[in-house]
Amino acid sequence: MSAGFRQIPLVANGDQVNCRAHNLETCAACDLDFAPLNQLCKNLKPINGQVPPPNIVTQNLSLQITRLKDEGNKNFHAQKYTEAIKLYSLAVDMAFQRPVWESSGLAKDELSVCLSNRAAAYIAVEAWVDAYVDAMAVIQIRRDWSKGHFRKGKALIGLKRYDEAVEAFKLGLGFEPNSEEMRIALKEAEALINQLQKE
Amino acid sequence: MSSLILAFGYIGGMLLVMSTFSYFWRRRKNADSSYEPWFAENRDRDIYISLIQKTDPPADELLLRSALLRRAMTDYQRLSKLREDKQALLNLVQRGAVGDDLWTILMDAEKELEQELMDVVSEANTFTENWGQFIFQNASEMVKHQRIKDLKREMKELKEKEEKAAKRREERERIGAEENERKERARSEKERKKAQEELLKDEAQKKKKISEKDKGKGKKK
Repeated sequence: MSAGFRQIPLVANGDQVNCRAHNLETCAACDLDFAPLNQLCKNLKPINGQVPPPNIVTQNLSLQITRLKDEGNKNFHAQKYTEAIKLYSLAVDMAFQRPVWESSGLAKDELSVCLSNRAAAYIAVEAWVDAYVDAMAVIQIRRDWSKGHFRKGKALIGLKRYDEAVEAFKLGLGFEPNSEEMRIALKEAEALINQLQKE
Repeated sequence: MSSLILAFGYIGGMLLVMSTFSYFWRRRKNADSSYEPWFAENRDRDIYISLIQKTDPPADELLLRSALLRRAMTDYQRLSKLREDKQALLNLVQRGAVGDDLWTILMDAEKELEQELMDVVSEANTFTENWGQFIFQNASEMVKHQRIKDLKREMKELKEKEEKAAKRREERERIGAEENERKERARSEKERKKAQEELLKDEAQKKKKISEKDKGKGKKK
């Protein structure tokens, strides 16, 4: 299967591994990169490397994230968008801090919802680039969720990239053909394109 | 008597020919089987073993556990890829598009990977009892989770890129708008000048008419 075992010239000081020749974590000359290993070591330090089976999660974290998201939703519906963005951002940061050995599915759910809501808030205050970045991340996490494509399209309309917006809406409709709001948005984008062409 | 010698000679001759052929054939076969292995070297496994072999001083247990987890993550990814490749190669071989040699290499890789997985399980059990039973569950979660964590960095990079692009577009629009404004102003200047000239011309003509009339009047008088 793989080439045979090769002794790696490394030196280990405590939790840090470097190449023996140049004492570097990432060394192009030795063709060695210990950065991921060292990073993992740092992440595992709090539990001394003793990872539990994956079904165990830190309950506190989930509760906090949900609470922040709900607060954000409240502010969003009260049209206090800046406040909502702040709360959503806190929720997103917490979701990103979930320990890497815990359930990735849970992290995906939390992140995709919080990012999608934050994108909606950014759209409401016309921060188009931020909304676009958030929407792209949502699509990366859950490609088959139509909301992500919807927000992406809306952000692209704000950025005046109408062709790309139409593509995003069409893709979203492919995943959820019954989405009325997506169909309306698609027509809106196509109308804008026609308007531009006439000018 | 001679027929006996002939018989033995014949048999001996055949054996000689066949063994010579067999010798050359095997030599050729062995020379050919220096194919490329299916997977490249397993760097994470080598790192783990190198660390384990350190005796002076021995590596930290935390470091060893991390290295073992990274080894498990790599093996898990190879296992997934191998399953996909096996399916694809099976299709190709059945259709006859590819020779059997590739299949042999893949099978060798599969056997080696199975052995490697068992090694990882037994190594895990040396750290904590029964860790071997779920170390690969850990590995699969961590592989997926790591991809999500990488998103944070990717989002930052995308934002920088998009903000630059948006600025450039704004600049272009602004320059375009300024161009248009300047053209507008130049045009309206021209029109104003034209209108002025016409006005002057009109006045000059009027004056001429009036003075001609006066002259006329004067003469009559």
